[in-house]
Amino acid sequence: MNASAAVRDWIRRHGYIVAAVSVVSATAVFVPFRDLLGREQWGWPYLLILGFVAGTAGVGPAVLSAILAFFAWNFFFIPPYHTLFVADRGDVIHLGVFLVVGVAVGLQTGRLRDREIVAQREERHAAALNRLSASLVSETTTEGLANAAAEELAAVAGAHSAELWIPDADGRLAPVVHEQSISDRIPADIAALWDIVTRDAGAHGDDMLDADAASDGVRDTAQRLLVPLVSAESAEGLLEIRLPDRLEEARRAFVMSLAHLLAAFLQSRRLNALAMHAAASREAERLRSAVVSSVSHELKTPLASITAAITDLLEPDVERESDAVQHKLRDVADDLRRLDDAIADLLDVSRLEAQAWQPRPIDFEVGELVGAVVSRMPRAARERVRYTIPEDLPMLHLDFVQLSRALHHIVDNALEYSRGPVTIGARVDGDLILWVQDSGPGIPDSEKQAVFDKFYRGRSGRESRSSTGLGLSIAREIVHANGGHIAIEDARPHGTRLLLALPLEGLE
Amino acid sequence: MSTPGAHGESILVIDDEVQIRRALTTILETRGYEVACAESGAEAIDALTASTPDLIVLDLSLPDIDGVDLCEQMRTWLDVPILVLSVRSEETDKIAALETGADDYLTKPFSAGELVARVRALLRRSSKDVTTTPLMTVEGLTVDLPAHRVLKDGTEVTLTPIEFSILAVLVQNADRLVTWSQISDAVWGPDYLVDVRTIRVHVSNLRKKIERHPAVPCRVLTEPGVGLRFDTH
Repeated sequence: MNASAAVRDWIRRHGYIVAAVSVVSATAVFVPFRDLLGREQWGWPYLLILGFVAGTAGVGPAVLSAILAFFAWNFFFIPPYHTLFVADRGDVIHLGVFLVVGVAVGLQTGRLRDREIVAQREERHAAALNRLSASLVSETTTEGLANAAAEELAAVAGAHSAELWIPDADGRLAPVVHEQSISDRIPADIAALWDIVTRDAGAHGDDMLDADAASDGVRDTAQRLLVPLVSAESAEGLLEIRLPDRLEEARRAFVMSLAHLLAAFLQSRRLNALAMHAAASREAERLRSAVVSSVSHELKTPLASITAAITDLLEPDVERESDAVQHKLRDVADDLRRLDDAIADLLDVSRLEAQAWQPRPIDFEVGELVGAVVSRMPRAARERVRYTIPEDLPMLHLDFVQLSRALHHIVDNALEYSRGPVTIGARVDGDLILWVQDSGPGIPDSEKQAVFDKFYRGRSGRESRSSTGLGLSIAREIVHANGGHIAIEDARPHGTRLLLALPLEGLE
Repeated sequence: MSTPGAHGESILVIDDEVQIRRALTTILETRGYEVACAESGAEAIDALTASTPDLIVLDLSLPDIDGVDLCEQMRTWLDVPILVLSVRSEETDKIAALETGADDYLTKPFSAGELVARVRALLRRSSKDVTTTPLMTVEGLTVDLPAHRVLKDGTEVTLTPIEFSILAVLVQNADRLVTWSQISDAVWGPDYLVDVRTIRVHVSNLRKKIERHPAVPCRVLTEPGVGLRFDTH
């Protein structure tokens, strides 16, 4: 396949030689059999040769072979032999008609063959561009894309190598495929072209600089082609191609189409990154201000009341009942607990965000987790908790400490947002489903997802509840870190049910 | 108020924070304990070579030595109970300290009541002559150790000998952390090293018999990674 393609390629490039060789060797074969056919009939075998040359080598060689055949027939087969003189008038007509028909057949067949070649080439180019578009969609890295482009350039345009130069975060041009260290200099011609392209992007859309012309004549090895990758409004990079020879128009057009495709991809990728960055920084900004307001509220309020209470107790000139002192100190202890909770929440959030709190799985039963969480709550809270947890549930292999923090937040939340009983249940449904259900007013559908957002507080809790609003967001992060997921749904007849799906296969 | 320490038992507090040392000294001295302090690991070793206290309170974050290392080091030549102080984000250190020989832990911030309860419980365990309350009743569960009887809501519960031995060691150390190896030693004897999974199976059966909600243990609590605690609150 490859060898025959190479032969066809050689024939295409050396068409005139093929034409000459064909006619000469055909004549050499025909001459010994000169008496087999009548002298005027030797035009037919020559037409056969003509057809072969036209079909393989194209229009020019076909016309050449028609002329050569005309002379060869005259010289070797028309008496008197070995002269161009023609004795018989009729033979003059034969020869004249042969020349006209030969040239016409050569032109027609050659043109058909040329058209077919163009069609095949265009099909190949289109297929290559198609493949590249497909890899634009599937390739996530610029490197993968550069390799895909290099492959197509090698296959279709015969390029030895292709390199994509794109600017990094600092605007410094760097090759994508071949690693380049900081100390490596960018080739002068590339730097110069990039300079021109970035100065007035858009104006150079169809510009191609031949490296040979631009640089100081490195022409000993191969041709180098530099193509600016320019999108509608900006320069996205450069394509550097090394070629065995100068490109003809068709392959040049292919290279340009490919360059446009690359430019469009690079632009959309750059704009995407910009948009994502903007969204991320907006979200970070929102969180920062939420942190600041929550921290200042949740830390400063108890701190203020503790300070007030203690400094009051330190006042020397006030007589106080010991009951009053006790009462004040109990309030201080409550405030301190609140302060500790808020600090713990913030600490958990930052540990989870920094991924500095990796799960350490151990074997346990879900009931042990529930028992550990509930038994740490105040008696009044404990008495409102009901269980529907069956015996003999399968063991879990997850982080007990993390999950007890998560469950604590969920149960605490359920107790806080309702006055009635809170039920904790479990079942196996693919995963182990642990659920906590309150008998409160429920959460409107529009707010269901928002409850997991940082600093979100339910409508009914906004005024009364003193908390950071981080609990459920911490719970979700922990459950995710343990390979599970968390969901919220309405409970019947009323209330809200939070479900934790915990993987039975456990963590590594 | 509660009964003071009274025996004049000595406690060594190892903590680099002067506020914590001062607070612990005040809390413990008012309850009749003799308190000595060390600011660093080196100072602690000096103090320990001079005299042996009845109990050590050790903060895990020290300036000159890792608290877990110090704990392990002290365990090689000291038999006194060690109470570890840690902050919440030091869970792994805390577990490591308990695995290398610490007896119990308190998470900062803690109340004076919690501290004193832990200290008393640890001292009670280490003074061999004292047998704990032979009869314990918590929310409908009665454990009569000498009579080998357990009642749940007035009904007798039948336990296997191993289940009873586990319950006994937990009740004797009520509200205190009991590590898996302590349970193994107390129930199977120090010559056997019993697999945690084996103990867990017995504990699971024990829970089904004595817990109010068989699937949700609220008495025999799991201390993740280290052991169990019998909760009386």
